[in-house]
Amino acid sequence: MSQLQRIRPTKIELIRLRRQLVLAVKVHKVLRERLTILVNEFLAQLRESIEKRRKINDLILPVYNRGAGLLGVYGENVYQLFHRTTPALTSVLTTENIMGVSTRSIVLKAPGEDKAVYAGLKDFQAQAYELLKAIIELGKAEEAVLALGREIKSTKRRVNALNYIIIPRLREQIRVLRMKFDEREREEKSRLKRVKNILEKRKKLE
Amino acid sequence: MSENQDALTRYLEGELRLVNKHVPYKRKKLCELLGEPIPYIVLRDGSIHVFDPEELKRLKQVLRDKACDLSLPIIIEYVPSDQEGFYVVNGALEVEAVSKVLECEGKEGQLILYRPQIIELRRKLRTSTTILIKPGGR
Repeated sequence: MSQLQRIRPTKIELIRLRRQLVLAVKVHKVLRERLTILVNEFLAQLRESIEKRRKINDLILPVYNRGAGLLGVYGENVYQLFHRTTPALTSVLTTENIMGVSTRSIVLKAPGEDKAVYAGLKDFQAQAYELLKAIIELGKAEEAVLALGREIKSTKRRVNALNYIIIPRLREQIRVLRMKFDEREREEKSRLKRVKNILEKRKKLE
Repeated sequence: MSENQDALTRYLEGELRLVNKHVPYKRKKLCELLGEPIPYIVLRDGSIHVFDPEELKRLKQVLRDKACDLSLPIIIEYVPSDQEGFYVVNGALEVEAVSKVLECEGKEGQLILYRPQIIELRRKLRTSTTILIKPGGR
């Protein structure tokens, strides 16, 4: 109510409040649309992250088994051997924008052709590369899920603030101003009637 | 009170401005992006959006000879309505690319999509499509 009492009861104020109400309704509609799209994106990313997690679960066991096999064949120095023979795998940390939500992303550059030939190493390299790619994809999807979740939360708060506080308050302020103007008009009418009566009485007396 | 009211107006106008901040400042051609080591574009808010190279290769494969003329990202307009809103893809090449990816048909340089199709499209072309919100509808 304190907010309502502070409004100046002028026509200019009423016009401004009405303009604000139109703008607030428009923003509310736009934010609600954005929220719908964000929720869709969130669900899509969530589905993708579940799929990726399943894929990783399927990939990890063969890689582990092959790694254990290679360890048995080449001995404990097998990972140093890989380090020397495997072409470097480079990744670039970048950003991806989903509906105005910036999420971290990685661009993985495929390794070049490996000239060294060791029995079992090629398959292990290919499988390990696939696993690494799936892990990065999962990281991207989960990062997007978190970022989208945060954005959905803040957008929801803004939509609710507009829906339950700002728009009803503006409507109430407009209603109060209209009531005040109507009251003034009625007062004016009754005053005029009274003046008219007085004048008529004076005429009669004369 | 008038200061508060002005702040509210400023906030509301700011929200309208920011709703499409993820739209690209300038679109790039597919061939240009394929030639770059890290294909990216600058968005209206100044941030950088990187394309997935695999998506670009897929688009090139889908469009073949016409691929070089395709501007990316493909802009999908969200059109609100009283019921569930729908999405529109404009432009002959864009429609061809999207319809081939989704295996559906577009008419006269325009393709109307609904929510399940959009989910499918965003799953297949996540980085090379972007959704634009039209506050006033069509």
